[in-house]
Amino acid sequence: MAYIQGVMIIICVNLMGVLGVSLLTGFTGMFSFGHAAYMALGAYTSAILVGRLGMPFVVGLLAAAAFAALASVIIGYPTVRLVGDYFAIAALGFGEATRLILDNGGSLTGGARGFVGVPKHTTLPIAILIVILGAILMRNIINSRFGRSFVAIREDKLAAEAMGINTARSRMLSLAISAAYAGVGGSMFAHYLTFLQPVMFDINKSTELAATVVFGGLGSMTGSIIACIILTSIPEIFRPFYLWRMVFYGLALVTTIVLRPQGLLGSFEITLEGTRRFLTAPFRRRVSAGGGARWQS
Amino acid sequence: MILSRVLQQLVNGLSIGSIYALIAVGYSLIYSILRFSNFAHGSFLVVGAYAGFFIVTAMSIPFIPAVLLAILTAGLAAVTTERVAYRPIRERNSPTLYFIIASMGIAIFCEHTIVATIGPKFRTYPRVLAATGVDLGLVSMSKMDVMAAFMAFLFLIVLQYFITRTKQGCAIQAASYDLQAAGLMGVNVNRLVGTVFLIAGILAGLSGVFLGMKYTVYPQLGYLTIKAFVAAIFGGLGSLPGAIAGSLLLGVMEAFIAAFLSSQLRDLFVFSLLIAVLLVKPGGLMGKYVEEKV
Amino acid sequence: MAVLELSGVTKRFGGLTAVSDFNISIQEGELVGLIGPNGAGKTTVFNLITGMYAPTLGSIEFLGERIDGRKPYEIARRGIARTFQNLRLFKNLTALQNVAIARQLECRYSFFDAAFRTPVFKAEERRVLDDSRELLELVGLGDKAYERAKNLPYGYQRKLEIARALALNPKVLLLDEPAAGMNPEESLNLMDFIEDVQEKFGVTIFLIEHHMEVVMGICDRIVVLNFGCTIAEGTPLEIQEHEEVIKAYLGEVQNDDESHAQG
Repeated sequence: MAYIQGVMIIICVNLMGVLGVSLLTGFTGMFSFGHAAYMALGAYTSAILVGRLGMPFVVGLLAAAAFAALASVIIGYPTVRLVGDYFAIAALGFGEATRLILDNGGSLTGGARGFVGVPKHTTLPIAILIVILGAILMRNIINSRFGRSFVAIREDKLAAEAMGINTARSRMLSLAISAAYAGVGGSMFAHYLTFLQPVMFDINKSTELAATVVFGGLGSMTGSIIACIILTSIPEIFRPFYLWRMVFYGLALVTTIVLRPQGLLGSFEITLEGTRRFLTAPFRRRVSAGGGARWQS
Repeated sequence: MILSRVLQQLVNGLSIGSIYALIAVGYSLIYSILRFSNFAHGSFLVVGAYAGFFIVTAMSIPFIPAVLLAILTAGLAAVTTERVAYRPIRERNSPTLYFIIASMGIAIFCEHTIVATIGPKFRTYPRVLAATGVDLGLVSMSKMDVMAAFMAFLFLIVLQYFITRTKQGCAIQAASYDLQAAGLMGVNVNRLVGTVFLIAGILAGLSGVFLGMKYTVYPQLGYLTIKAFVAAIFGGLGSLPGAIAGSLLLGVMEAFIAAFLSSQLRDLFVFSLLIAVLLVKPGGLMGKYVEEKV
Repeated sequence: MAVLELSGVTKRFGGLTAVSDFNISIQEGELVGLIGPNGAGKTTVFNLITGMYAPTLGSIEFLGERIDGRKPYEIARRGIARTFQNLRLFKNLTALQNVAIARQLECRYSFFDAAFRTPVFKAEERRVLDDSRELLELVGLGDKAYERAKNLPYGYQRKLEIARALALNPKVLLLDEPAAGMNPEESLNLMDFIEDVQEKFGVTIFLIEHHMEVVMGICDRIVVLNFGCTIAEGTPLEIQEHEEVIKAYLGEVQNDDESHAQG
């Protein structure tokens, strides 16, 4: 039972990261292979504030979000004006740089050997509560003028600019939000596991998040959520094949993009309204099977 | 004494920089044609490094033909990658984002397939050239480094000749301005992109063999390409002379920082350099940053 | 007063001069056409006005204020909207979303309002969507609001792009070859549509067009561009008889398809 609870908490942690990456990659069209770094920053920020300075868990969570968002400005500011490749390279470099800093952080971060003694606060109900809150806020953002600007940029950056959208600022905002989500995920992770090591947040973790979002469908939050639940539990079930886990993630990225770029759900969203309509469809005509209204109005 | 130390670091920097140049040039070449950052470039390098290692150790083939065989393997790996993964994306006219994602997927797939099959072990190339240094008065270099630098420049000169003097090379130049237009003018786009990947793969494979000989061969060797990416941006993304200049400069700066400050700061410096370049002059030393055409 | 005034605008790309010493003054409510053979620099003029490129020389004034060197989004917010030669719709979004993205510029709710769906947010959002729907009705796309842009027929996509530009509530509308790819009947239809738009929205229009029947039929004034230089300016009648214009277009017949020269 404790084991299943643990898996579910990890799913919640990953979900926060995945919601963030989904906003950035699926909705804004920017690709980051450095999101594990924002998780790491969130985890360490929270661990230091709560574990060393004795602040409450809520402060740790909020500070984790704020610090991760702030750090995202370092790579966001110089790159949001340029084509996406520069951002992707900078994000990759940022991931490595963060790991190096944590590795050499001395007594503050515990270095490569790790940070021990983080108080345990993340219980399953708390984790689920945070994720639900996070998902609702994310949905609200996507269904607003901010979300529409992000999607416009993904579709055609130049046309978006010509429609009065400050694309650099919007891209920065999307990055900051997505980093904040990853930061909260990191904080939850720290207070579940109670000890941290820089290697937990390496490029493989970033790959996991990105592959989940691509697999779930770029532009679908619910797709990302379902993919996250599936992809986080599968490796737990198939522990003996641990070695092949990352092979699978890499392959999932390539084959999805090459064979089915819309992923599991495409830009389709599963909504309460849509589900209700789908379930009652036999009584009407099953025209728009699962015509789930998209998250965008 | 100081002079000799400075000169020594200069030579060390140029030596590693020339290997970065092999990577950066191929990477830049692909960028100039397909306009995306090929994160799978490190995989070509790793394939070359492992191929070289196994050919040299397992088969009794002399060193030079073994290296040629290894880099050809890397070239073929690159062509296959293009054929299997990038061409379908290219033909659907998908956004750049898809190329970036696919290339990163390939990099991860390749690294971990090696971990899962060949194993995560570090492997040492057999000594082909004596480790003894070549003494040049104030500075000394290992024979291997001398040969690596020499071969790197040889290949880059051949590439320069190919691009500026041959018909296929001119087609590549034309395609770097506008791939679609080149296609309309009768250039066989698929063959051209294939050639570019073959060249890029061969150069990456060669750098892989040298890096394997200089350090060791291991699955994560491909991450060194991040430095070559930074070098390419530093020199001007998409510009071949820029990629070479950026690589040599980066190599020298790294050598000095490692020698006179701290070797831990070295990689952090590379990242800071990237951010600084993007802030001050995103077009790099020789390129100019072009917004997409309207 | 001139709404839009370009003086001595020159744009060079390396050694190539795309636009050379271009001058024009457009009055409020005018419908001005910009014509010229392929590669004459017409779209470059639009890109200069909308801030996609910065001019090498010269100045661009909008309502008496310099706008050259400003970012495209700033210029769009001031009231210059455009369409693109090769259609740049947000393809995977619905017609309604396409229009709403431009329309929402006037919404002023904060990020906090959006995250917590405050009453301010709800009211503003309703207004944006209602306005967008109304606009779609006006251009005759009312029943296509929930269709994805890429699934609309070509002619409708053209209209949608114009509707999206109008959603910015612009003072000046720049149309880059609105009739491109249309047959004669469709382009005549479009002609009526553009005149209709001008009447309903009271907007000043500057348009690039190859279909001569469109340009000659609706423009008050026409400017002819060749190799980046203005070679003629005047009423449609004057232009039709202008010697240099005829030469520029006849010159084109030999190495270009004939459809362009029919006018």
